[in-house]
Amino acid sequence: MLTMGVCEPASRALWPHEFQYLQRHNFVSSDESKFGSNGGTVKNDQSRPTVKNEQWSIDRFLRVRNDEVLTQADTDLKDVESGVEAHLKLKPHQHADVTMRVGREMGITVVQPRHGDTLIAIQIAAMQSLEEAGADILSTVTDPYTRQLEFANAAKALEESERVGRSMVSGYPVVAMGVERTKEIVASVSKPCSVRMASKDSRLAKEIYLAAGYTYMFMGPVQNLAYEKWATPEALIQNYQYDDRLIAYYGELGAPVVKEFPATLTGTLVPPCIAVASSLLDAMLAVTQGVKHIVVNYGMLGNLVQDVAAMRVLRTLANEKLTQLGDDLEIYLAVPQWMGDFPHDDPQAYAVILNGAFNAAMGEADEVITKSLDEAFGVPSKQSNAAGVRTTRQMLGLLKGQRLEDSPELEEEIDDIRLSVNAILDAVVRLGEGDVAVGTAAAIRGGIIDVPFSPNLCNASRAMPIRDLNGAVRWLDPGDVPVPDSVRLRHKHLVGRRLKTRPEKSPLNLVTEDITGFSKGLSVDRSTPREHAAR
Amino acid sequence: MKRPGSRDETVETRQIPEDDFVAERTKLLGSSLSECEFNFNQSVEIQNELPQSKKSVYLVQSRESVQRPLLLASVMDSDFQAHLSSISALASQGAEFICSQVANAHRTHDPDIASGGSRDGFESVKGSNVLSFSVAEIGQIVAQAPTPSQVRLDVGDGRKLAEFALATGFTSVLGGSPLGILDLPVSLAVDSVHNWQYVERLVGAYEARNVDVLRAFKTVSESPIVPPSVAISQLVLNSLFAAEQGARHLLLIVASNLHLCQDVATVRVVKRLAGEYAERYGFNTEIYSGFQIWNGPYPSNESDVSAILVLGAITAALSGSHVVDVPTNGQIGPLSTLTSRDIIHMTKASLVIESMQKYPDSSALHLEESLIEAESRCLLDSLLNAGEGSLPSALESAVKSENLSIPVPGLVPSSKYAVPIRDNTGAVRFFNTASLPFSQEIKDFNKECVAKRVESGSWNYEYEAVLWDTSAGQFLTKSISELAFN
Repeated sequence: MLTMGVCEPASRALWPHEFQYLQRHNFVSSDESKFGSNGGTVKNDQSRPTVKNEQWSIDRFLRVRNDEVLTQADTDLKDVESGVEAHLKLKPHQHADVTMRVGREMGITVVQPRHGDTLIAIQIAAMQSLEEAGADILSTVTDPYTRQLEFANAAKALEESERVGRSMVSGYPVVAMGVERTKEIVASVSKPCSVRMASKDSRLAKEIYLAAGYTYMFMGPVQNLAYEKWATPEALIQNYQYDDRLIAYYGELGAPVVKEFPATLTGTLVPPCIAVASSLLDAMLAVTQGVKHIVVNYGMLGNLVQDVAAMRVLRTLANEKLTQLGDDLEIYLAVPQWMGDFPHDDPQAYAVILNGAFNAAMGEADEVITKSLDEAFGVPSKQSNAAGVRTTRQMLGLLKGQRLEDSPELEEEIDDIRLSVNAILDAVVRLGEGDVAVGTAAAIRGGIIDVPFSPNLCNASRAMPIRDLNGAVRWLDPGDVPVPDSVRLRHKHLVGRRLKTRPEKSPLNLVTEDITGFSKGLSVDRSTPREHAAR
Repeated sequence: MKRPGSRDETVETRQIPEDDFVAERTKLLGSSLSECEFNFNQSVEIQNELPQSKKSVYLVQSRESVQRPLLLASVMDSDFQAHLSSISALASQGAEFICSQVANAHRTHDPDIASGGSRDGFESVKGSNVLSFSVAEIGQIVAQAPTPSQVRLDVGDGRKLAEFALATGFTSVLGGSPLGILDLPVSLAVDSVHNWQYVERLVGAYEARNVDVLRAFKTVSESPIVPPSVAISQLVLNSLFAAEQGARHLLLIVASNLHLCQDVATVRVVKRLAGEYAERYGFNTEIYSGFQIWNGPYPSNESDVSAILVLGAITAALSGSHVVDVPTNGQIGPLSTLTSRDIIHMTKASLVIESMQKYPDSSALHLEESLIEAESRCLLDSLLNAGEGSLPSALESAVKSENLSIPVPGLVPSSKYAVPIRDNTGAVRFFNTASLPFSQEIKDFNKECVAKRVESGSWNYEYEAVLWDTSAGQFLTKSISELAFN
């Protein structure tokens, strides 16, 4: 049985296909056409589980494990203790917590690429190639069928891939593969293995990865707003409470596991305050479940000062907020390279990748999640993925010992982000009457946490970002995000300067230009002569 | 003539008198090809008729408002047709300013070798054998390029080449001056002082007729890393030497040391100091700053090279440079798989991403600037004093003293030369200040930096760190487990 629910729409009309989906699943009736000619209202709120930010007891955890998780598919999973045993057999350098700690002590930024392939031999070959290129942690991206809990289709895709000898879907079908085969991956490389998957319910997949010896996990409920159209925040929170309790349980049994809380969200012009608040809230929920090795995450936007400011705010607030919730925490900061549109041209792709590596070094990130040269095309080849790792490693090496020093400009940007993040977090606590889980769900529904361009129906989608003249991301309209007045005015001023220089274009035209700025705009100047004159 | 004393004091300067210049010009061109019998007014007319898009000074000035450096790329083909093709290709790929390089052979006055460069259909010399081109051919270079054309003149005698280039519509002259050929024998550099005075006077003559010529200088060194004060002293001396003869628009290009804060500081200080010293001498100049992407050895791996190129482009953009000088594929090494197109696309994309951004003013940046400025002033004041008020003498004395020469560490085992080293953060300091006229405070500061660096590394002997730095960029791709667990 899945506890996953379907979200009711926040405040907008439904598209025909959305309405049909909800109708098929009995969430709407056709006679209730409140949302326009093509739509209907959600019948009830049956999908909204009750969440609370409290640590799950082992009994509850094991009950859910047996009743809900292990029953999702037939696998070779055994008890948690067997998984812990696999971890205890790993060499020190296969433990992600050791790598993260050593990296910090040596002042070296950890490099982690992504790769997901259906066939295990290709996945292993790719991970070995990335290892050779200089990656410190080797990730496995899960296939889309598994992420959508369509395990039968995943098995079918695997079978077909094995038959034709190439991957028929992108990503590793971990549930179809099972624990023992996945252990082959861990045994084939000498670095820690990590999971990268976004899913409304990754519980079974995470169980298998952990049991196979993966020591680095990924994802939180708020980040899933960028991926999941139908899932309710409450259901996401509940499922990720399970994930986090599982990770904490491994730690309690002597097998520490690192958990990263990405906040790249849609990867498209997400203002830093939303990204920082998102990563912090996901991490706060995890710490309550007992997770000790935390990696908070900020997706870079390309503007040096803004990116470094966001990284500083995230690190400071993570240390401040998370240590209030748990003891003996190890907190790290990871930054993925640009997650938005990518140029088709290899040299331009290098420029985008290296901009991320550069900003990461200047902001003293503990970890960089790399991109490949093939981002514009789809699943990267192992060569282009390795090139992303190697070039990132080189840039980090060149900048070792350097950082962006304090300056009034940086301070102003830090204040801007910190004030906004604190306002969001305060609103979350207020809405949840002190309970972060309740508050997070309410904040998403109320547009307090509003992820630009999110497909999730519970996301308010009232806020709209835009770049200013310097390329920093600002609010064109913050919607209901509780941005303090001083920040609101600053953004209005900065955005206004840009809008004035392009009177022939509507603001939304400029937003569209910004969205495709890295894929289409790198051979021409971003700004026009009028924009220059305005400076 | 007074000696340059306090900063407020101006000194009289000496420009080659018009009559002397004309007499020398007639002699120079009279002994040359008959095609050079053009008159100066005609050359001025050619310059004036150029469209704005081909005028170097106009384009460089436009960078002030655009806030993105102009992308300067070089063509080094010795064969004329290949040279023209490369210009077209570079411009279509995104180069915004194109420099025609002179063949190496010309640098040592060996035109026979230069002209033989493209004989039998292959290119045996690097760089254009431009002195072997006819004036009409040189004119075709300007016609072919949709961008402004620059000629690079790091030769012992650049007089004829400068004449030909400016007469045919080149609007920028790069390199030259005795300090521009410090990598050649000292005697050659000393002998070239008057030749370079002539070139600067020629540029001044165009300026006097309201033709803007962008006179550009680069840092010259055999060592891949150069302490900023040495680079700045070279560039400021060159700019004064040129300005004395009437050059007005001066582009000073510093080479990357692969250290963001220090490189940004260097770009800012060179512009400031060049302006200040020019004012002290009473010269009417406009100073523009340029940044040259890493001039040292490159690794062979494409990904490693890309990081170095992009770091250079980012630094140029954040420093507010007017021009960024990108290397050709030939310059980054024969093993590299990167083409010129790749290099231009990559660096231009970086410039666009960083455009409108600048390195924030911070106390660390100001501290670095003040260190560089203090060292540069020590060097400049001492060199200018040695000239006893005469800029050519100061230049000659600087060449002879070899104070501004930084050979490759380890190759010249002499205490005569200053030796650079990186500090803990990668900034370039002095391992050994040799006979450079620094204050004790500056010497002590550099010693402290060296001590910290040596302490932090696992060097077998101090000089090992110096040698390591010469190969910067080549060994940086080790992962944590390779470093920690092996």
